[in-house]
This record gives sequence, C-alpha cells and structure tokens, in this order.
Amino acid sequence: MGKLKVGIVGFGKMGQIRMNVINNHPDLSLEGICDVDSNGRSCGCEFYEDYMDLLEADIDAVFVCTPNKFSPDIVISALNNQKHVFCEKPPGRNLEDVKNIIKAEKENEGVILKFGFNHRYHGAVLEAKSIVDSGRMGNVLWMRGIYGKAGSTDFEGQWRSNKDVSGGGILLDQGIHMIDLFRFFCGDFPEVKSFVTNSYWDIDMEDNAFALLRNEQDQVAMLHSSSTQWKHTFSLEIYLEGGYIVISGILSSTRSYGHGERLITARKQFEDNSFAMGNPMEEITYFDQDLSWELEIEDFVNCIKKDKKVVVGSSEDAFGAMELVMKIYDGDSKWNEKSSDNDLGGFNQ
Amino acid sequence: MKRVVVSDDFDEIEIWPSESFIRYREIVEKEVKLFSIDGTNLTRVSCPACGSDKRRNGFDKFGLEYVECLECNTLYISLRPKKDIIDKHFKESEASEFWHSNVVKQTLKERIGHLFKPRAMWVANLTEQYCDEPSTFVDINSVYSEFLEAIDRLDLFKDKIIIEPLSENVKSFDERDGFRIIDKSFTDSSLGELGADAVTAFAVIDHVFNPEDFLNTSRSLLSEDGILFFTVRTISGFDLQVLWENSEAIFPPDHLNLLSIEGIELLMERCGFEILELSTPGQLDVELVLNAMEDDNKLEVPRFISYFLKNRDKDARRIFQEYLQQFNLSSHARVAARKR
Repeated sequence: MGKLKVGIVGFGKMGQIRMNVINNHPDLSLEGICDVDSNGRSCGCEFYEDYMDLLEADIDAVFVCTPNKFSPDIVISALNNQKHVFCEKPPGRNLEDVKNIIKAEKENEGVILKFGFNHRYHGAVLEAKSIVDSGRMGNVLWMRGIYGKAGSTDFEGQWRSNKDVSGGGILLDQGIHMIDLFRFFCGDFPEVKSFVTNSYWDIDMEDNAFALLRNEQDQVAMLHSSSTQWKHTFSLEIYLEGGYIVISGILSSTRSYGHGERLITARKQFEDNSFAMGNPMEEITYFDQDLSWELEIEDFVNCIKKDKKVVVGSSEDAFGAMELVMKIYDGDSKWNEKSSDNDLGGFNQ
Repeated sequence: MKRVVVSDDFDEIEIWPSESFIRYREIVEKEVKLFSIDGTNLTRVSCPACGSDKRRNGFDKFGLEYVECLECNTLYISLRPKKDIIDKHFKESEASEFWHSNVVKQTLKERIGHLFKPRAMWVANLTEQYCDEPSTFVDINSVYSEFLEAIDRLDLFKDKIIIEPLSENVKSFDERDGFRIIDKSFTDSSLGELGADAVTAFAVIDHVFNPEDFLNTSRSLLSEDGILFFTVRTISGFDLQVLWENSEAIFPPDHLNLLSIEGIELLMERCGFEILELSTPGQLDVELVLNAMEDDNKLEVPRFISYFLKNRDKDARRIFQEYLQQFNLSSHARVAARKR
C-alpha cells in the first residue's frame, strides 16, 4: 500500500495540530482541507468549503476536527463514503450522536473509525498503564482525577461555551479525557454519584462537575472537572495494593499544564520500620516530549494499513466515555431540575 | 527521552562507612602506585565519550592524571593502566577483596533497600513497557547477589545469565539459584548473540578500559527491542564540579571514565543507541560537599555554596538535591537505552 491520501475537515487549533503530524508522517499525504473560514487555503493542498466535496474527492481517510455540533454528521457521511475516519473527542453532543455514528460504522464494514482520546498516548500515561498491567503493585484500589482550566478573558465567548455548538460544559469538553483514562485503567463504571454546578461563568452549562464512580470490582474513581481552577491543572492519582502512581501535569503545546509531565511512583513501605515511616521513597519521572499526537495517528495508520481493529479510541471507548458523562449529568437531580428550567447543560434525552 | 528524580532518605555513611572507605582508598592507592611504577603498563587514550584528543590537564590522583576533554567536558584518566591490568585488579586485587568483604557486608541492608530493589524495579518497569514477552536477562560484571535475587523475585525472566562475575558470592550462584554463569570476559567474541531483553551493568563503565567497546559488546547481546541499563558516575554532577580534585569519591582505577552528561549522549549516539532515559537520581551530592567542608575547614568552595550549606537546613538541602536531579546535575547517572 502506498501513501494514504487524507483530508482534514475543520482547520482550527486541532486541525492544525493534526496537519503538522500528517505532514511529518511518511505514510500520509494531505490532499485537502475543508473549513468555513479560509484558514487552510495556503497549505499547499486543495481547499474545500463544503465537506461533502472533500469526502467525494480521491482520499482514503479524513480527520474530523470540527466543533461537537458538526462532527457526527461529517463522520457519518465520511463512513458512508467509505472513508476511514479519525474524529476528535468528544464524539458529539450527546449519546444519541454516538449511537448514530456507531450505526453508520456497523453499516460500513471494513472502514476504520478512531476517536481522538490522545491522553492515552502520553508518556506518563503509557508508563503508568504498563506498571498497572504488570500487576507488580497489585490491584487498583481507587483513583482520583482532577482536570481543570484556568479560564480566560474570552472564555464565555468561545464556541465551547455555546451550548448549541458544544452540547456540554467543561465535563464534556475536558473532563471526558479523565473519564476515558479512568476507563483505560479500570474499565466501565456502572455506578455514578455526582454534583454538577455552574458557579461562576455566565454560560448555560456546567463549569464544575464532581463525581464518584464505582465499578463491579468496587474500584472507586473520583473526578473533579473544572473551568474555575484558575491554574491549568492535571492530576491523576492511582492507588494500588502495593503503592501508588501519580501523573501530575500533562504536556501540551503551550506547556500550560505544568512545564513537565511527571509520573510519580512509590511502593508502600510500612512493612519495614527502618525506613521512613509514611514517607516512602518516590521516583519521579519527567517527560520532556509530547509524542501523543504522533503515536495516536501512527495507530490510526496501522489500523488502516494492517486492517486491524481499533483498540484505543474505538467507538466502544467513545460510547463508554460519553455514557459516563451523561450519567454524571443525570446523577445530580438538582442540576437536572435547573437544566430543564433554565436550559442549562442537561441531557434529558 | 525522560528523566527521573528519586526522593529517598539516606546518608553517605549508610553506604560508604567512613573508616572502611578510607581504608579501601588506601589499599587502592597502594595498588595503583605499584602498577604505575612501570611506565609500560600505562597507555594514552582519547576521550572515552566523544573520541576527541583535545584536552587540558585536570588533576593528579594516586599518581595518575585526570584530563578534561575540551569537546564534551568528560574527565578521564590518561595515561591509564592497560586493559589486562584493570581487569585483573577488579577480579583479584586486595582492594577488590576488601570492598566485598568489608564495605559491602557492612552496608548490605541499606544497599538492598536503597539500591538493589529500586534497580530491579527500574529494570522490570522499562523492560515490560518496551519489550513484548521479555525472557532473557543478562548482568555484566555482577558484584551483588542481592540485586540478582531481587531480579529473580520479579519472576519476569525465564533465562537469567551472569557474565564475568566479579564477586565470590555471585560466582557461587548456580542453576539452583535460577542463573547461568558465563565466566568469560564480556568482550569475548565467543559469547555470540544472547538476544537479551535486558542487559544490566551497574558502575561498570566507570572502570572499563574502553567504554565504546563495552557498549558495542552490550549492544550485540541485546534482542531487537532489548534494553541496556547502566549506572555511571558523571563529572557533570554537583559534588564533583564543586570539589573537583578535592573529591574523595573519585580515584583510579575505580573511576577511569567520568563521562559528562553530554559525553554520555555522544557516546550512546556513536554506538547506535537510542536513549530512553538519562537521569541523575543521585541522593548524596549536597551531603558530600557539606561533609567535605566539615572535614576540612580550609577547603575552598564557591562563596554561595559555602553560605548556602552553612546557613540553610536539611529541607533546603533536600530540595536543592532534587533540583540537581531534575536537571541532570547530580553525579550519579543512570541510563536506559535500546538499539536505534
């Protein structure tokens, strides 16, 4: 198989990140960009104003990097046009969107569909996963994840703050990454308790979500997703029978979630009184490079070229994460009441 | 590439008991002077890291000269004892015997807790992350049976091989202990390809005659996705930079090659390795400088360092030590690398 011909729909921040990786990938050739603005006109490939024109062009795959409102229709059209699809998270605005996408995926067998949950490919996350899977620290007991945004002067004016376009607030926009990581480490969580609030921003969606999730193995995950964190924050603590793993900071293009991505590991030491009690030896690994975008696209390309099932970022993952988001919204009766009265970000489907 | 910081709580004296260490240095000095008398035992070498011949004089230790590479700042002994003399020294000298029967024995419990178990976990974690179904483990110049036992307890490797063991208690290992011993030089061409998923060599590069040869041999022992793990004293570290010739921690032939961090990167590149981790998780730099100042009140160190160490408490020193680790400025380096 020669180079895969690909297109990008949506040339905002994510589209541009994907283009940089595509242009450096030996097996990919960027053939076309589609956007409602003229941003991508000077990128040295065909420019389209209508995504259907791009989908009907001679391309093998498409990267869907549009706001949540538009992604499902584009993904479904691409699948129906027998194009492999890489779609940014979240996979739509609600569970119905994901169900429709999965229906189209099933109707178009042989076409690869992958969602962009790139956090699973961060160095610290991969290393943590390897340690957990080795079993040498025993079973996971519980997890605690905090993912928070500092906000900004234009926060309320961004498309993410427009409920019609985004479908949900900080939980759907960013908290879904943490939920995906919870699922990565411990599978599905059938039981959910939650509080969802809008306490600061003048938007018709949540700016904070607090949730307790429990799975059938009695593993509990605590989530705080916030857009009133005032300092960009990422922290995932995983406590196991034999020690703990903490991922602190996550590398981003702006380095705004900490100047490094840190993985802290320690084994519990209370069995040996000669060492510091309650203060175990910690090993902190600093990651200087974010290869998540490259690794994620490499996996997408491999799935296409080798006709492999998508394992990370599959439609099952997308559905699972989206279902948990919905359960967190639904789990707060006060939020649901408010959202139906005031058209806040509820999911009364 | 990643870097690792380790927060632990132990002192110099726990792994280097002062009286034994002083005695060890005395024995080494006596032996070095003996084999240095005959000038034909010594040979000139280029920088063991980058290969450059541009150098300036560093300082004298036990009658041998440390020189500093002007290209990569590696500090190394040249003229240095020839390979067979070095090999013999580490196998059967009085110094070697004293190290194993005194220093190691006195500090075994601390070494197990602070060094061997963490090293075994380091090897296990990275091997599992990068190798599909790891099966073969190789340790070169094994000294500590307790490290090998920690590896054994991981139950990760089916085939465990020790090449050229240096201590009697490792030599006494046999198949019942789950290890196979190959008592040949690691540079022996008859070793062939072992397809190892993990090759370990702790504090070996410091004293090998030619680090490049050592790395090339190690590379040939690795499987396609196997990983080489090693530790080495680096001249980029705080205590060595501050104390320089006054450091009692470095002397020949234990430290023929004090590679700089930049030198390590160049050497690994030359030998066809991709570095997965290059860290300096040393715990003792600050304490070593403080101890040296306390032992010798005429010792000259930069004013700021002197002020800091005399006027700030243990917490400040701990944070400074962690800072040194974070930016690869401690003198104890560890490297994990695979074939490019």
